[in-house]
Amino acid sequence: MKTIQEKINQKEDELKKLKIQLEEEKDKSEWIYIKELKIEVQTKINHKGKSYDELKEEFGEEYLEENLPTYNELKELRNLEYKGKYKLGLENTWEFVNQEDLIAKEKGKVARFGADSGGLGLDADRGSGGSDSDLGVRFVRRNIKKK
Amino acid sequence: MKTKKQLLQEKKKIEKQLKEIENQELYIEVPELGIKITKTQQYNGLEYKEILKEVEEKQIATHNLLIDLRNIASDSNWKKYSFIKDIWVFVPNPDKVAKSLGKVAGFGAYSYGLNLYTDRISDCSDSNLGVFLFEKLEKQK
Repeated sequence: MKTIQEKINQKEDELKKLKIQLEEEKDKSEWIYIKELKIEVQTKINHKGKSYDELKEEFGEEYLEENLPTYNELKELRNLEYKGKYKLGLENTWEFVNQEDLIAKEKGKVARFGADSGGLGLDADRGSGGSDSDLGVRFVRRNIKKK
Repeated sequence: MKTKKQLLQEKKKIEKQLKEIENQELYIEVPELGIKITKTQQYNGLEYKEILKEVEEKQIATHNLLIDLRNIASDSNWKKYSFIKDIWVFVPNPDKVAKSLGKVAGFGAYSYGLNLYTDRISDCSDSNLGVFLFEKLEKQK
């Protein structure tokens, strides 16, 4: 016969497992595979209100450089969304992208992608300390092997 | 004495040679990208739709091409292709949303960064705003 403490421990273990499963499910729902680009991308932007410097502190520079989308990826995704494929919120967004302009990168500038119902913009000349409550980040996963 | 036909053929030949010489002056080869591109902005001061009366859109350098060229130029410490350092040009609009609204795309690059905007009104023009033209290099046998 189990003691009360053993029963509590068992329930706590079950709860922990459920929490992990829930997190995994939540994580799955946040990512979508884009067959046209062979990447996985987060369906929403996160970490709004943080500057690039703060994101760098949280995730590390290497992670950001590897997992931030490029401008071209977001542009392609927006065009796909416009055609009715996928739902990524790229009709109205403001997010950090990989800095591909080497001159700006050398000077410590970061790149931002913005889009609304009238068009899109790339600013590859912004200071890394800037933030805004609407400015966020989404990550991509590359080298995905999917059929 | 040359016939009229011969004279016309000769005229055509010389016109072709002239065009080639003009092109040599106008373009610079970029073997890294397999293209040749104009050394200066063309058609400054014209609206985009007016430029499209002069050239086909596929001849106009895209922002991606210009970014690649800029990075190559920067890598060489501006010893190569330094004309790309400060530019302000129309590029083919990469955004289908903006294109469907009839907007045009402007691309600017300078000493500390670059900007691309796809939502500019179609009748905008400026004496410093033009295009770069490019052609693919013929593969050498």
